[in-house]
Amino acid sequence: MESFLLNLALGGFILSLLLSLFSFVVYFFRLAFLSIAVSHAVLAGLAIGIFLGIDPTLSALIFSLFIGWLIAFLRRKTGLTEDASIGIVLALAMAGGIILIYLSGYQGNLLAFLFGSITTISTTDVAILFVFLVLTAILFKINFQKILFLCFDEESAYSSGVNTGILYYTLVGMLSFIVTFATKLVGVILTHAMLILPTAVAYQIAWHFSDLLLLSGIISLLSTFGGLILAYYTDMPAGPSIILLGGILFITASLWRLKRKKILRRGK
Amino acid sequence: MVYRPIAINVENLRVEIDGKPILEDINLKVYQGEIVAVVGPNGGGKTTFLKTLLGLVKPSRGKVEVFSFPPKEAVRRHLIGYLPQKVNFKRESCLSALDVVLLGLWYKPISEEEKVKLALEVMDKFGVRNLARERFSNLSGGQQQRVNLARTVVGEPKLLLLDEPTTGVDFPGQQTVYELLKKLRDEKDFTIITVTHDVGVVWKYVDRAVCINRKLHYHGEPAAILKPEILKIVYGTEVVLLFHKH
Repeated sequence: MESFLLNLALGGFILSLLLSLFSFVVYFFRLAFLSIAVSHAVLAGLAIGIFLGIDPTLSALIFSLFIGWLIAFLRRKTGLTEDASIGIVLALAMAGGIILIYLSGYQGNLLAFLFGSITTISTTDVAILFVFLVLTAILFKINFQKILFLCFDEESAYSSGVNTGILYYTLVGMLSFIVTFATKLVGVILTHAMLILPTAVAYQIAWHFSDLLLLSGIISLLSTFGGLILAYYTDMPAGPSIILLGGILFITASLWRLKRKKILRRGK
Repeated sequence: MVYRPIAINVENLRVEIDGKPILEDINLKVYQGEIVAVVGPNGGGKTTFLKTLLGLVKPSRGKVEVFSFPPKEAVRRHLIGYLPQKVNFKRESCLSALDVVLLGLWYKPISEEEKVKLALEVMDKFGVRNLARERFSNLSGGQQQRVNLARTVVGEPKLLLLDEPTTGVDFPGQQTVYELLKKLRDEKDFTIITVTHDVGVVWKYVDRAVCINRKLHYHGEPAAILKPEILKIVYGTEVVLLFHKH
């Protein structure tokens, strides 16, 4: 098999699983806007790297981690609403990024970073994704009950001995990392589609969180590989094909749920 | 006289939030195995008092100890079970009633089967075993409260801090809950602090009553909280209690 095809298959597989796991976190903790803010702050992170003369990808990863934690901190400690804290941090980060790009005299197109392509995943990217998947699986395995408890009610979880602060910041930190890395690999739009759609589709069908997790993973893999096959046979771009398929799955699942509700109501 | 260890020791407690005093000059000792009702008007500082015992609110002055530990250490040692007034529950989390009760056992080094068995036993005591497989978000307010109470006690913490434990529960249900808490105290030697508005119900089931309206206004026999003069001190106005008859 061609190495790029192998990387695409492996990378797509691991990324789908990873984003479906974090899809669960985003959905349960209502972090969709936080992840969008983090992915847009990537631009400022890249600008910092260029300005300081260090690897822009590394500076983007570190900066987005900082941005994720800053938003989480503002939400938890200052009583600011989620949209206000995201609005403030995002505007400042973008403004700071543009000023740094101007000061550094950079002439390239940083926006290209926000529109990566799933077909260009390298072997190193696959290795990094694999390590991150293993780390995420370990974190979830050890802390799953605590994550559920934190999601159920933070004060109750705290009083039961869960270190809610550390757990929350760890989840937000890992989410920020994967969002930034996935943005570099597949672009901002596909990252968010893969982060939000799987659990949204699964929620229409599943009754229990364990089914939700499993279904979310299956739906993520189905949209990624279905979308890639669709793109291969129709010559359409891969990213939009994946999103389109995810969207079709969402509409189908929602219609199924509505129909089921009607049947149940009639049954009563 | 039987020696009882001190479960809660509060000395000269003052709590301020945004510079405004919420609690002042609170001195209180609660002994292990006691059931104490904390009553008072809305905004009188009852919930803040519980949160101070949990370490969620930091005192501006004074000392707070739970089983001789600072509150945060007592929490870390899983000594406290807390039932908040309102659970900040996210509907989309797809938890069944049994899942919610199991959360209270997350730190116990026992098998999943044993955890489920224990959880179902406690749910049975609170009359919600038949709801085990129902989605928590689909339950009524009273049913959710009973499930949440089961979650609070299932890990058998030494101290239960209950903020309005019978919110949404009907009158016979309220009595059942308090009777059950009293029974659990007798069996497990729990110490229970319950914040409540149900002065007409709770006094029969507790050992002591504490009336808090920023300061500690009364501290003693539970039946005394029904006296008009004490009710007036606590609520700042004339209060007439109506009792249900069965």
